[in-house]
Amino acid sequence: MSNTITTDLGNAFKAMSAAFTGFDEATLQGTGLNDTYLDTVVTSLNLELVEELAGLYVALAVEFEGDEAGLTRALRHRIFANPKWAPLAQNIIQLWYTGTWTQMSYAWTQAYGPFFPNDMTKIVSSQAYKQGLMWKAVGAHPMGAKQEGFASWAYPPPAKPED
Amino acid sequence: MNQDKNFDVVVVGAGIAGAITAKQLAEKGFSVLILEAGVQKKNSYKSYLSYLDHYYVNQIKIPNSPFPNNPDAPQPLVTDATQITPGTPDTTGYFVQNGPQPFQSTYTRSKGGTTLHWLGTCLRMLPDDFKEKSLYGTGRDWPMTYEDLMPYYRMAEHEIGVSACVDDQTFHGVHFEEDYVYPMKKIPQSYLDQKLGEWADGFHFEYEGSSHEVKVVSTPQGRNSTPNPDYNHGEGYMPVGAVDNPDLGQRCEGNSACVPICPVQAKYNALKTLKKATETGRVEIWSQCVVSGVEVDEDSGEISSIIYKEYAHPDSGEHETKKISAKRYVLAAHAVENAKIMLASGLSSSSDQMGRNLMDHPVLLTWGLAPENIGALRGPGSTSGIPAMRGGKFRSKYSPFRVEIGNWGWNWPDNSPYTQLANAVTKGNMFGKELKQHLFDVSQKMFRFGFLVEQQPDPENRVTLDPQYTDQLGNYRPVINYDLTEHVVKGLEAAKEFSKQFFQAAGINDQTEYNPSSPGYMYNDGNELWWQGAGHLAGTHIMGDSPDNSVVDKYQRCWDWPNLYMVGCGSMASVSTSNPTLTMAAMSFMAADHLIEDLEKSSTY
Repeated sequence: MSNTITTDLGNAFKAMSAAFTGFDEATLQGTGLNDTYLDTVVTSLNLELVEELAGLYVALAVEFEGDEAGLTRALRHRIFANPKWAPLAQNIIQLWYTGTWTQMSYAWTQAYGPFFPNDMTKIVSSQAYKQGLMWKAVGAHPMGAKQEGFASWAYPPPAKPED
Repeated sequence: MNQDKNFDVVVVGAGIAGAITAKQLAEKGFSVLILEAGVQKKNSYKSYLSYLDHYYVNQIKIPNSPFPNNPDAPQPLVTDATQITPGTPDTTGYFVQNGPQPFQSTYTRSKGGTTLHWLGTCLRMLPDDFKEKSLYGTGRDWPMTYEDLMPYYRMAEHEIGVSACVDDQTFHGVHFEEDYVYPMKKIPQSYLDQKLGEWADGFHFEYEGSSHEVKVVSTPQGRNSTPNPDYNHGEGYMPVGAVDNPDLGQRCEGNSACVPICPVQAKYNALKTLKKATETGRVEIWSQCVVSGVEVDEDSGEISSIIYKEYAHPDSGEHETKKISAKRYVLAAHAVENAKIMLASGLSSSSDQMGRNLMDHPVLLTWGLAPENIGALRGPGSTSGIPAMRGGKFRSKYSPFRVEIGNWGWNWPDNSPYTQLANAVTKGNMFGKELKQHLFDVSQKMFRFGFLVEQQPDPENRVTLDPQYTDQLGNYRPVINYDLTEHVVKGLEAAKEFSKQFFQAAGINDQTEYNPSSPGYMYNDGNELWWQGAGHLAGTHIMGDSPDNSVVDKYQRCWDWPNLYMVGCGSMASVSTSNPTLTMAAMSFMAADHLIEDLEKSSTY
């Protein structure tokens, strides 16, 4: 299935993920996981849903280019308030933040799916755990990885989340 | 492994107690076989890293998450515990729980034992703890004093490699030999420890007519820090790094994952002592050998052999039952497992105390938001504590407690920051930069206390066996009866009040919220309490001054079977307010000394 993923879709998924997570595309690229996560969503659900959501995002991004507040509102209205797209978008956020794909709810699958046989909660890989954006957001590091060095904990914390 | 080989001593269990005993014996020239229930693992760092990978991808990050469950040597999990309905045993996990309270602590049945996932806290017990009954009328007295154990504490602090500052540890009568320094300088106290120290400066906890001065002090830890050049009268100390990769782990690197696994082994684990033991050439470790019982020679009344089940693969349940004999035997398989082996052999000792007096530290957690960013989720799990309530005359009225200052925010009580993320996304309807900033703001201020309350030995808190509950090798699963006395509950209440007053003094916004359906939830006199296990299981083969009241003597030798030593936290006469591993290690050195003397004496005949 993943052989049908195009570079364009990969880029759209990355741009959409940046807007969803609050981290810029360079940071997402730096995790080395954009293609893995796109593949995770496609494998867990299907290509069609991802293409449709990414397409919707790209259309909004074009429409509101240069208008960040307008884009945020449009994302809320069209994606995060939408019963079909909100659960998927929220799942993608948590995928980037923790490396965990969470099984879609029964109700959502009933409404928008066929049955998705590969849709199971899992941590995608060791690397996915370690690259979780949540730890950058909280101003720390993933527990058990990317250690900050001896005595680092004795110094004042960062003033803001990592970019 | 050569089944016909002769050993001077058979040790059961390759955790810290067994490792120390084996090493000491081997260094004196005795041959030792260690039987380990856990799966065969190489002593390589690469093999250790497989635990780390297992942790990374395990969705539930509990203390045993890096260590795969093994149906041939099952282990309890913190997630097994539930509230118990009287009359209906909870058989969810490895333990069969009769209640009335759930026993919530765990241990690890793998080579290295529970030191694989311990936090590393290395507090000594207080001198008063050894005479609790005489001084306060509660619990039991030990058949030895703090002073008796002092030389062995030094050996334990050397073996584990403890980082601490003597000046911070001289409270409630704790004393050290003149000029004593710890092997390494104290682990730097966290930024939030320092802030808390500022906020607490001059604060006194007022409770039941007494006033207790509150001071934040550094905690001794079994993790590598800067070596102290003054150690051992100027000899210094060389930190011990990772097994098979000694350059790694020379200092704590701040992985913030001591429990469940230190990626670089800067935190001590018993694999380090096992390495020294096997390097003598006189210690063999046979893994996948689960001891199921001991045999007693009817004429001499001594132990004649150890019976074990050897399995080839952890999943099949196929095994071969074997036995082995030696001059002396040491059970060091963990408090619960030691008692289980003896009870399975029909040996409850003449005092009938085998399996009884199960103790732990019920831990009350409280949490809140600090008045400013304090940098949670960084560094070792805890680098400081408050010793104020560990000792004092109040002990006759309620249990003392140690205050642990957590460095990982609400990770323990609330699975932070995962919970905050899920809530912000699905309930807070946040995404993008707003989400990111929100998580930063809430996490940076997270603060948590842990209160480890002393639980006195109670013969009704016990491990028993029931033929209807066995594992796939046919070995018994422990049946647990457990409750908290009023004395302990009063200690929990005092701890909660301590938290309330401290939060007010420090300007911490209290966010503590207990779930009435959680195991360990209690509603007592209008006061909500919630306690959990500390993993500090003790007392099941309790030590004493007479065969009438105890299973082992001060050297952990069984009163009834003089060629058998039961070594470990199970021998502790009280659990005090210290995390027990350091004391257990000291006791293991003491037992080994006695065992060596015993063997040397017997060989001259």
